[in-house]
Amino acid sequence: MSRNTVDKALSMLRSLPRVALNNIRDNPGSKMTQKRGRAQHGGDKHGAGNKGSGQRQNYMRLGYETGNWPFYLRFGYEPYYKGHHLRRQYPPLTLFQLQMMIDTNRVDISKPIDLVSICNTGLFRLFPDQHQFGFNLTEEGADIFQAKINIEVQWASELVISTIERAGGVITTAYYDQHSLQCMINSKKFFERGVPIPKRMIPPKDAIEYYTDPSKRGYLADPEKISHERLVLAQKYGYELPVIEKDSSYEMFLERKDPRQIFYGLHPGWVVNLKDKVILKPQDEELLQYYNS
Amino acid sequence: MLSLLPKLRNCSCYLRQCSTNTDLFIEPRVLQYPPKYQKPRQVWLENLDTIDEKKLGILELHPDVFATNPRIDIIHQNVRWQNLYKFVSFAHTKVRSEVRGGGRKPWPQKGLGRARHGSIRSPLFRGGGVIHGPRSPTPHFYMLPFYTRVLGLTSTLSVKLAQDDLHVVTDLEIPTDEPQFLEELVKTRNWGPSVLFVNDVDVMPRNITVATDVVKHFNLMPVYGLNVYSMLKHDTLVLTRTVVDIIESKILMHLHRNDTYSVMGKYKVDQKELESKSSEIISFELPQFCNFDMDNSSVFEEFNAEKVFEMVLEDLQDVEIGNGDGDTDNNSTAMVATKNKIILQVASSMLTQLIRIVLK
Repeated sequence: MSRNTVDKALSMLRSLPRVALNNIRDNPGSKMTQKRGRAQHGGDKHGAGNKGSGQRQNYMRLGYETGNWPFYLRFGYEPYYKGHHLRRQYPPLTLFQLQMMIDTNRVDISKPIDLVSICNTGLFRLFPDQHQFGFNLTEEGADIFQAKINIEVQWASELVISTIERAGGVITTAYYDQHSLQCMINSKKFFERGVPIPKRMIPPKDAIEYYTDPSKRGYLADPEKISHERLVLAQKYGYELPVIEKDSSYEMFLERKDPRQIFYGLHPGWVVNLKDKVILKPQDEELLQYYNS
Repeated sequence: MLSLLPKLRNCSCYLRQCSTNTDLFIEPRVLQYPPKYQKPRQVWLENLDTIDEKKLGILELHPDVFATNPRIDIIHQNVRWQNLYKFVSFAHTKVRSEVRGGGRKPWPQKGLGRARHGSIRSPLFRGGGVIHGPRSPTPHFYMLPFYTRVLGLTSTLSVKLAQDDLHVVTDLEIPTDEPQFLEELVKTRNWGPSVLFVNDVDVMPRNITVATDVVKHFNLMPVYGLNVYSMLKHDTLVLTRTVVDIIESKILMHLHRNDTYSVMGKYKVDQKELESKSSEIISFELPQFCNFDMDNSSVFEEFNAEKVFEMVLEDLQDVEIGNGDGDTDNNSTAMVATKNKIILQVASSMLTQLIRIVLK
């Protein structure tokens, strides 16, 4: 609503009668009128038409063609979408949106950015129960991306990796299982439950290749191979790799999560008590062994 | 005549007796989040301790709260919701099975030359059952979307400010407890006739409580009870300076919060949470904003001061007995101070409990 319209409306109100309970009304046409026919229309069809399946609501099943050999059975079977309901989904997060969130102070770049901080902005939601396994950082906005960040996403393309690294940042791709994601999408709610932080599971068979690949910056890949791949990518895209070792926030760029860790600074097995503001750590040998392994 | 009226009302503004008092220095209001694209609105800060108006200074108001688009339709939706959510219709009609009698076939099916009937209580008969009639109890509860409620508040405040019906005063202290003073004041300042005074806490100053107790069209309300219906019901809205701060900060918080999923979701009656909250006996906290615009006006308007103090005194006696001091006449100032403290605590806890009951 433009400012002019508001000012005009408000100045108009000054010479109009006082707005009170007796002269307010809804916009005309915003209310639905009552549907049921009254009086002589009580015996009409109530919108269901005359005779047939429309009136009786007994529609044919989907695909049935009243005795014809149905269309969906006429031709051979090509399972393009086989198992689509079981595949992992990675909802997109664009570099443009990320840059926007950084510019509007929605995320803090002085700390490592992960799924928790993206969810905490309140702009993105993740539904792990619908097979969403994290964010896919996509290429839109790669031409304007400027920020130096240490980011951890669940999927990233080559161009995205090169964009982050060209700007002087670090990117990791990491896998989280559904239970871990449930803790991360609303961390406050999880801590309020008062249960210990679970340990993160290793990726399933079909994902292990991606997350051990240094060219994908997988979190299980060898760090030395990753630094080699950084150079390779810089040469491929033709930019000079910024030296992060000389950066003032080099310590922050080095921060990574343990493959079993879910939250930065918190280990699996710990219980965060928000009410008393204390962290309870397990003492039992058996528990320690379980969470360490 | 109708077209003349508003102009007359405007003219009356110029006739107001006003004197600016330059002796007093009023701390200017600093907007916590200054608007980027709109100029702040301005309002006079007035006094309430004399009949004639003294303008003490100019305060700045945030345009996102006090100069938004005056959406009359959203104001209407808010008022409709406030009337309906607590309304249960007890209109009731009987269907043919509930009307007394009519179990017997009135006359044989065939042979009489009359129309066939099975019961004298069929809806075709006089005195028979009613088809599709109202059935009791019919609740009309529904929840207005959260941001429609917020927009209702900003729209109403903007309308009130634009029509010169919003006044800001330093506090609600008046020199006497006689209602004539307040009536005279309202008359000379061209307020009202009906005025809603809004305070930041729900324990109001004594004089204004007593003075407004008799006059039915002067009402007091704490800021957390402020709502669209009451603002429209009263012609003039009088806020204290602290109230302006509270309203502005709360509404701006809700307009810019990022966890909107929780408030915009489907309305749920959280029984567990309500139970656990009502178990705390003395705890004074302002209710959440979702109650902020609910109509608590009925509670506060019908709540007369004498009753409150009677109830408080009863509670206080209990407290004293519980302490086991046995010292009934406590004249020392310390004792008075503690007594006042207890009064405040008990009164506030009672009010919060009342609100909870109403909310339930």
